[in-house]
Amino acid sequence: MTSAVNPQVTDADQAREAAARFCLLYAGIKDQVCAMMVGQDEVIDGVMTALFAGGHVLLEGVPGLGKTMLVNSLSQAVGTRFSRIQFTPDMMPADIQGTTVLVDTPGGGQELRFQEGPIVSNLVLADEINRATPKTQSALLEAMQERQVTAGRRTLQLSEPFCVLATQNPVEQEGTYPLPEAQLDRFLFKLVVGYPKEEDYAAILDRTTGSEAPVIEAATSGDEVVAMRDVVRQVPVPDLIKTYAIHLMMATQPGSNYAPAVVTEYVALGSSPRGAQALLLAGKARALLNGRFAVSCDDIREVALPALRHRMLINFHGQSEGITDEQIVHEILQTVEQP
Amino acid sequence: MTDSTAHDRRESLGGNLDRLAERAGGVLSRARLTVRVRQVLSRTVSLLCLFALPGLLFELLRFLAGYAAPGLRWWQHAALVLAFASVFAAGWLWRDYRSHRFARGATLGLFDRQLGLANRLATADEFIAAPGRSGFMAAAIDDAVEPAERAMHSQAQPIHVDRQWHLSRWSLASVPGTAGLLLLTTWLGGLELANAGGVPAGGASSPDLAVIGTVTENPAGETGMRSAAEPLRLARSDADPGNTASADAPESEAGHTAANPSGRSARQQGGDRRSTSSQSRGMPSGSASRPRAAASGQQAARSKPSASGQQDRQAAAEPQAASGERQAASETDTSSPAGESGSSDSPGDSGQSGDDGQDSGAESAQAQAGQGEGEESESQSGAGQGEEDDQRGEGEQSNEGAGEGQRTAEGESQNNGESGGEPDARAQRQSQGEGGQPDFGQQSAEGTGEGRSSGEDVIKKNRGAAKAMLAVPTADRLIGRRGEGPEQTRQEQSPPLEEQVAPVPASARPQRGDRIGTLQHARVSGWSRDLVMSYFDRPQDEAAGDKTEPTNTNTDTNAGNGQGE
Repeated sequence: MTSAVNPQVTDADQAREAAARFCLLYAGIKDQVCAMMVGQDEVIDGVMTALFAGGHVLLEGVPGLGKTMLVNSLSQAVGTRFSRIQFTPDMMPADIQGTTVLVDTPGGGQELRFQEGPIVSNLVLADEINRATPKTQSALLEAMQERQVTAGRRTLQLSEPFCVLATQNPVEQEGTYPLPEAQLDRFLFKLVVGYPKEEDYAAILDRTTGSEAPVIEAATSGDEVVAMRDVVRQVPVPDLIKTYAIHLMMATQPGSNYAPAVVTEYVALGSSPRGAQALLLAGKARALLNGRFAVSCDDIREVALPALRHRMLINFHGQSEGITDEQIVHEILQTVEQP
Repeated sequence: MTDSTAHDRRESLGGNLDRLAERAGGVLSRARLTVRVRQVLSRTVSLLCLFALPGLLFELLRFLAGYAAPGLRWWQHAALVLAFASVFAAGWLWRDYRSHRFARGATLGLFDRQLGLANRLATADEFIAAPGRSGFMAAAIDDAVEPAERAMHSQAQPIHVDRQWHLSRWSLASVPGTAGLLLLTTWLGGLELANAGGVPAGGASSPDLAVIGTVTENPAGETGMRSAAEPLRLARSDADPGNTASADAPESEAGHTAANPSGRSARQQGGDRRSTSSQSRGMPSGSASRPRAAASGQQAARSKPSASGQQDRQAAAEPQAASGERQAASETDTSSPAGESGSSDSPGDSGQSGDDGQDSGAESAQAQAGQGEGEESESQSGAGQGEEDDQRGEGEQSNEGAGEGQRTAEGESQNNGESGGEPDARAQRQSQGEGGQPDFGQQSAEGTGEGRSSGEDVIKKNRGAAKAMLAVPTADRLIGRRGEGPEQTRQEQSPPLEEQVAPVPASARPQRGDRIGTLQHARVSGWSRDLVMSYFDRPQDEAAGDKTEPTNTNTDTNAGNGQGE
């Protein structure tokens, strides 16, 4: 598990070996997570894809669907540092980033020392992130984009792998603060956690109401995850696939040449270039998982929904008409021509 | 896998990709051609109108240039339109075919989609040509070897394209539009033929040419004066245009124009929009004028006052003719053998003008009575005072009941002497020829010895601006001048003028501390006040029948106000 991984792939044999190792590692982590989680394969794949692509994930779902347990299981399976932040309305940025406290020194004196916040970790669970004020929510911006935290005159470089897994409840909207677009755009994926299937309920009840709790072992380490991230980034993308990703991203922008009528009519704000970046990064991970050495259109289409759904702002007309993000993305996928 | 084996496999992959791209390119080209043919044809149909325009322009230029050769037939124009359209469509398709080439990625993507290869072929084709090949690129190339060999044994399936014709509304409307343009073009060609046929018959194909010829033949410039004067005077007439007569007898007009050197054709041209009386007056008494007078009989009936006035005018000119100018009349008879004895345009011939006025008056009277032209022929067959008296009697009979207009026209006729109400230079010239002094028409009326009545009117009307204008020969202005037609008024939108308003500061406004004053109620007077009072003073039982109670309350309040007023 702790074997050194050479991130630089110079020939085809090394590429095949790295791809095989990536798939093996991915399968090991997923097996451990699935020991705790029943069902929700798409959500698990999405979270792990984002983890290996180097992005953050926003999990949205009603309470009781296992969002927090998924993140807990993943942190245990990866074997990295894990911290959880329960966002509340009275939380302040210092509660996340850290602050300077007065501590006693061994010589009997006292000194000011910076106490790191829970953001300084590898896997951060921001539970119910929309319950904090925008001031507190914005404390995550720097950490999510620049992978660093600035408190006072001190800047801490966060260690890799760093991944923020945030959850929010879409139902209880009283006393919540919807995430601003700047923060939503920093999430690689937005995954919607739905209800389990009927056949999964029995397994869920057996595992959670029995006397023996499932034990999750670490399937990898943080270093190996970082190495796999480098492997993912080396997956080439043909020009025609880049063009396709750009067209998909531009199709979310109302008034563009590739935007379907539903986008022009119901979308107020389209995706930023981060959308295309998310498509390609996630597509690379999916290409390796699908046994290919280059990104194809299928990979892009596979990750288009979680990568683009939260980057569009539906206007009032669309909201009144009941237009959802999923409908728009599906319309875009049907409209934009594949190379 | 050794390096040589890998190299060989990549070489074979390159060849396979080339062949696959060629095959897929053919399939895509055929599909594109199918689509483009429909698109080009649809757009060509929508542009059919443009292809019909050259033919129309050609015929229009022929018409304007007066080219007498026959135009093209309708099917020839249609064939030209179709030929233009075919060349246009073929050129468009050829240019599209020459300029468009499918990218290799797109051609290989066809096999990728058909075989479910997830862009392996297109990706490998791109990576083969890429410099600085990475390990993943090489792996992707190797990954495409087996699918490429599999694709070589498969046939590229034809692409199902939309074979529907998507004709726009403009395309559908272009077909009847093109047909209309073809009809117009053909009509223009036929119109040119008709004009060309008139050239040898009359010696001049258009009224303009006839006018030019007339002016050239008339040495005295009298025609120019008459013809230029008549549009000025007759354009203000309310009588119906007499186009029917002109259209019915083009040949007779042409013949008359050729035979009559006195500028009649120009007068007839202007008279197309005038009353029938003008035509009957202006027409000579010869047989050439018969169809026109007969055809304008109904119009003469509508313009009765004017016609009767003209007749009176001509009848009044009769004594002038009888006042010792027989010599001039005989000269006119000699110079106009084709029944032109009544031509009032003959220079310096007052007696002849008198005959002309009589003839015209007789014709107009006959036209009003709805009778034939026999009487007129009889009156024209003779020459002398008795005959003129008979015709004048007819004219007077027809003038019965004409009313005030008759008397006015009579006065005009007396003023104008023999010219039938036209204050032209002919009267001057006549006076000059006799007395050596221009008398501006008054002396000619006196010379007849029958200054019938309203001498003051004679003086006034002869001194008008029209007289001064007509005293100047303006033959050159006559060339190419057509009837002015009815007056048209066109409203034009004028942009609003920007107004500069200086802002008034609030400090400059007076204070509003004083009283506003007594508000004035709207004053109701007369029957409306009585109506309102009676409405509110009606019995209470009627008021109780109203449906809404608040309305009654309001009306009571209003009633008090109204009564207070």
